Amino acid sequence: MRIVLERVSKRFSQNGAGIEALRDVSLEIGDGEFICLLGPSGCGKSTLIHLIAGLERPTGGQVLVDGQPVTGPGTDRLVVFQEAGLFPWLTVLGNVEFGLKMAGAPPAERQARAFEFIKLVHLGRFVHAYPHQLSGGMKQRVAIARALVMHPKVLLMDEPFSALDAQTRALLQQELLELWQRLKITVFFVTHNVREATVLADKVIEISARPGQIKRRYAIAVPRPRSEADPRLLGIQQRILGSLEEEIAKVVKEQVDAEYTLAPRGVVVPPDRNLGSHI
Amino acid sequence: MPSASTVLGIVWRDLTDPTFLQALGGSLRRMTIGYAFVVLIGIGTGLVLGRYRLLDEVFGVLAVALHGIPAAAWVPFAIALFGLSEGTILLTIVLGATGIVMVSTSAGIRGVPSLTLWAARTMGARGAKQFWHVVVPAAIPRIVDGLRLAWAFGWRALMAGELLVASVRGMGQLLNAVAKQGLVPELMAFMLIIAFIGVTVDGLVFERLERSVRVRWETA
Repeated sequence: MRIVLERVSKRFSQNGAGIEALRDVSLEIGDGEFICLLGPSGCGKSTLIHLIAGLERPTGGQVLVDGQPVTGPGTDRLVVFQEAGLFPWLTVLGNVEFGLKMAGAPPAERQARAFEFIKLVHLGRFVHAYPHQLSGGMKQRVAIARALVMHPKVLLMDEPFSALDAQTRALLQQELLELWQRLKITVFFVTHNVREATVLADKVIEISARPGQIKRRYAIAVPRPRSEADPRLLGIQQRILGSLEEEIAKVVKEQVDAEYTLAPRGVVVPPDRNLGSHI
Repeated sequence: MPSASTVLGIVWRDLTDPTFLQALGGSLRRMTIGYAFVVLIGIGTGLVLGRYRLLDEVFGVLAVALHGIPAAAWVPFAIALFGLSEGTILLTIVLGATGIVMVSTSAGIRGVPSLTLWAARTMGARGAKQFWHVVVPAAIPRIVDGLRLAWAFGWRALMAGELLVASVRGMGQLLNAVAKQGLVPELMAFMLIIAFIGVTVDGLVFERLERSVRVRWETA
């Protein structure tokens, strides 16, 4: 399985004005890879996820899955959204078996498979709970389970942990890595958090402020399990952060004040700082 | 002005009087039947209007216009169709309360959050399956809002209908009778009972329903 983006561009019109969200983005997601897409807020990261998922169409270039252009959503490309987007009228079981039900699987089979994946995300005790009874982290576990139960070719994750507290986030990151290794899935993970990206990914793709363009690529060759305090990771984080700060300055300039300047490397970053969570 | 104890005394007398209870039973039966029609027609047409944009553009305006006519203003129209009968009162309830259910149902269908639709579509929900398994359940909070308002509208419509169709046994007929005799304390006792029923059903059924739906849908 290979997902290829060829010079993908996306423009929106908003209140009559044209907005260029993405410009000439080319990238490849290979089988079993864990790729993080990193960039400041409003750089079109979510748009890129929507384009791969087939929820939106590019205005230029194309998205290819195994050589075939994407024409719409499909269960080979499932999304875990920032807000879990669970169905409140269904239990955990109902949510996880939803895709199988749409695919016409018989009830006994789909329940058995749903159970398996609910256990995989450690929610065995909450099979019959409703989403409003779950914490934010538990909702994301359900969202991951309902995607994985469909055996997608790629799991597209749109800042899935950014609304969670630090401990829950760290825990879910580790569990996601375990699932990725165990099930040999492919993950395309969007985040604005440098530390998260370097802890998780094989490759980090940095995207610039609007219009979103690929700025740099970083290979993270540090073996897993990784420690957040690994000096090799810290080195990469410093490099990425330096580059990212230029982009953040651009965004701030656009949003706040054209006079705004951030002296390059003028910000001292202590090594224990939660890199990027402030973005 | 009659004293509160006089009025409450009459309320007690009414509630133990078979003639009164018969009238009350008739009114409640009419309300139940009328409301059942309101729910069926309102949700049915609302779903259709919500689903097909073109129909909504054509008939949605009509629904809003109908909704702007007070139930009491429908009574002469209903009398013209059904005469001074039970049917007239039912029609008044239906005309007075269906519009709000229709409008809120179609608005609910339209207002399903994009995130819900995106999640559904990526998991393979399409067309009719998506509509029945995702869009309709997602619209339930708005539909419930409509049903609650329709209860209040229907209750008013019932009274308006019964007051004007005095040949049908019900609360309206009793109100007319005591009003003609100028029996103010009796009149006040009736109105107290009518208000009590309206508020109790709203509080016991609809407010609870609305709250449980809100908790479930909005904190998901």
